[in-house]
Amino acid sequence: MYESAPLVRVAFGLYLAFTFLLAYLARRQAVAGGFLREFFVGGRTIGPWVLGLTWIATSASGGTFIGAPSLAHANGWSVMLWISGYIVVATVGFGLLGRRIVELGGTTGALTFPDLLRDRFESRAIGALSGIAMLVLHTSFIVAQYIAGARVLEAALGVPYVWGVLGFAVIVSVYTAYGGFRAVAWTDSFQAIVMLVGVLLTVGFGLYRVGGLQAVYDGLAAQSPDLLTPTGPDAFLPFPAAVSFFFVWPLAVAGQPSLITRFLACRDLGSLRRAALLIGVYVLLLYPAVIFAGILGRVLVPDLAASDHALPATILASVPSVLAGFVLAAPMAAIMSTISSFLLVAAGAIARDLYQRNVRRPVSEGRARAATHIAILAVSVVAGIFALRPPDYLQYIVIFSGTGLAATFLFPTVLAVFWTGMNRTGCLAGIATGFIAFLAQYAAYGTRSFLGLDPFVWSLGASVLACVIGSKLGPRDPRAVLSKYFAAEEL
Amino acid sequence: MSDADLPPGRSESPRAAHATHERMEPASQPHGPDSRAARREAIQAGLLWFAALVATVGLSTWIGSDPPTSVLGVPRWAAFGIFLPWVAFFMLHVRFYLRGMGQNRKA
Repeated sequence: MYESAPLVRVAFGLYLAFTFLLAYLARRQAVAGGFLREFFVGGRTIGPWVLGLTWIATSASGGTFIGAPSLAHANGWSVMLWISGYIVVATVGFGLLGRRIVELGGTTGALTFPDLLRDRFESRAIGALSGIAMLVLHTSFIVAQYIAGARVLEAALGVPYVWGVLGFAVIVSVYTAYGGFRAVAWTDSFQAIVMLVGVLLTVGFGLYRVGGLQAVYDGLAAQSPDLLTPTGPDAFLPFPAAVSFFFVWPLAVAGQPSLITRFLACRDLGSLRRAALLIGVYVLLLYPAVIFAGILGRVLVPDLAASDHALPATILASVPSVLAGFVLAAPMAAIMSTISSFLLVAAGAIARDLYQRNVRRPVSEGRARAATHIAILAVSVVAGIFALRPPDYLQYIVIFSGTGLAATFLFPTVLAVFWTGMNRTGCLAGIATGFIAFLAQYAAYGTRSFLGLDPFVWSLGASVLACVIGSKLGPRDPRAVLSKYFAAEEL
Repeated sequence: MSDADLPPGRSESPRAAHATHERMEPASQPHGPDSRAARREAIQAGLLWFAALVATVGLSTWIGSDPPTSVLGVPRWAAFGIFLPWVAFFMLHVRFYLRGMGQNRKA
């Protein structure tokens, strides 16, 4: 285990205390308008700063802070090319669906992502199918975050892995259930700031310790010249994989239901635009730095007790112990913000999409509240059980879950909100084909499918094709339904 | 299309969009929001993504096929294939959102 000081524990404790304080304050700001509207979209009052920061904090997960630096530690500079799709992640993430979802959120009253699809096609089957797919894939994403969180606690504080998983499950589920979307958005915003400051401090102190960029370059060259190439050691990133990951990052983010849900909570288009600008700056600063922190770690701490310890070990080796606890809160922040957002979406899938919208009698506010809290508890427990047996590289679960969600939902959503010719047959076909094509390729070929491309790329293509063919075969939606989603001139 | 051409209760401008956003309810809305401006922006975002793919993966692979050399401590392929495009596309991102989304433009 790596050396850490008692101050690290104190800083961790302060960080958690402030997170709970924010959740408490957020709940006090709740606006009138019904439990579900407040719990799932914060009363649709979220402004640019909170929108931008919650969006990026949800997007940047334990994968970003634990998985990616570990890959950089193992594969050197090639991981910078692997992550380079983030160059356009803010442009695509906000530009593809942001404006349209903000506008539709206000006019249709949708509270969750499946609400959008179900009501657009007036289909319970679509609501239930998308709810189930989201539940499965979001839960597996939460598993990855529990693993990442437990790894941080294990590396930084020596907390046994199992207790780390339990700690994360309890802490995050409590403040998520307590404060709902508003608490998640506020704590995400704080956590996004902690993440950025933590990574920049790590890189600054790490460079100082090693002796500058050229010293890092020379240190890597001395270990293996392959650490300096775009393909990396053992052909980690061949050309088809580099192309694949340029699909994976921006499009997986754009099609992420938990991020699309953020747009439903947005106050107006001006807020959306300012949030997009803010996130452009944030991504430019964060992502190269977090990968570089892993590369630095290869020089500072070449030997790790576990592959996913790269970032915590780099922080402990480079940052003075007085500050290390606060800097170590950065990966904690990334993990907690993602778990809370995904818990909210997974709980929404159960409480709203599978329960409330499928029972015949109206559900009282008290029942809706109870169902939501039980759903959060259930997802936390199931994810915690799966996290007890972690894989070697966390990043693979993150990629699987994130790309699985986007392969299933991206094009059915894009076509549903932009194309009047899309109908329920097309939507069902697109969701089912994307999901099945993705799982089948992973089962048959692993991470490299036909022509060496990631299964995600082919699944997206199959999903688009299924949407179009299904829509051509099925009846056109009634004009009365389309008129809720499109202007008269478009029909 | 100007704001005056839109059905009552809808507008392209952010201020008006905000106002309608707050008061619009499904029952009182005769038609949904016009998707054309959002569609045009989605296409532009897609084109930027494709251009970034070609520039980044293309340059990195092309320059990276030579033995690694350093530019201020950064591998040459990463300096010109990743960091330079990253800054360039960041500037395009700023331009896209300053002049595009949420602005009052004709559809």
